[in-house]
Amino acid sequence: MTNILYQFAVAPVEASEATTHAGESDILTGLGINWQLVVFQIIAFLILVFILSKWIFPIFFKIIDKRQEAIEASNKAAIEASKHAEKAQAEIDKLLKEARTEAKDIVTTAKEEATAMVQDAEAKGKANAEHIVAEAHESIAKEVVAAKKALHNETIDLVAAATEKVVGKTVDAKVDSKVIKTVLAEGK
Amino acid sequence: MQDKISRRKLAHYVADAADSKSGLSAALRDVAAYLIDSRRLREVDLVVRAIEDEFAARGVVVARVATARPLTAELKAAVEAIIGAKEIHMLESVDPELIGGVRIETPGNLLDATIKRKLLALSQAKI
Repeated sequence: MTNILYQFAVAPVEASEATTHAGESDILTGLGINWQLVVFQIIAFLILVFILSKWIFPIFFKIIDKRQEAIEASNKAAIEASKHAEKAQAEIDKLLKEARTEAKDIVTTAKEEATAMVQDAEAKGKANAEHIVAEAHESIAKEVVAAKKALHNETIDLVAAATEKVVGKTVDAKVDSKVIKTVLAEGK
Repeated sequence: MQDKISRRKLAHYVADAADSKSGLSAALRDVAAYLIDSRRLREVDLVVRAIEDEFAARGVVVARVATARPLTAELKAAVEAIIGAKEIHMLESVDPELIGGVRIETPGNLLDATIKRKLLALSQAKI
């Protein structure tokens, strides 16, 4: 390619050299600038620019756009992830708060239940003790009543036996007759 | 099988025989024979009671009188007065264990005024 361009460049130079030989006093030539070569280079540059802008740059632009899109997507994903992380953190905080509250409630409830159990046990123990005391009192009362009955019955037996013996000896025919008369008089 | 004759009918039969003054002993023998024949000897006491009841209904009272000592004539009269029947057959018995007082038993009535009974009542006053 370079060779071809060089040939294009050299050919006008050589042609111009032939013409310029006539006017060697040209300014550009004096400055060492070949205007034909400059024009050719401009055209070649323009062609290069055209080619680049037509086929090469779009490829780069496309790649760059894709890269840009990927970066933007990554950024977006990062922002999204950050939001998710914040949300998750908030959720965690909320859960922790709830857990702490629940734990506090559980502890409070357990304390209340323990207190209630202790009070219940105390009440039951007191009731049981009272029941035992009442039973003991009742048992003692029953025993006292039974003892009184036994004493009463024994006394009656003794009185009856003693009376029988005493009366059997003291009742003679006269007394007996008087008793019978009294009974018969009452019977009328 | 022989029909069972009630104690009341037997008593009625004996009382009727006694009223006629013809054959009380014969009637009693008949009843005794009947009881033996019908194998009702266990009812002898009940039949006697029934006869006594029948006699009592007709004004003849059999009174069982128990005392600790034999009754005097005065006391016998007092007993007959309290029974108050037109004819009284008194069956006396002496039981020193009664200590004192009198026990009179007539058909349908009992008067137990013995000292033994009173002592027994005292003993039964147990709780």
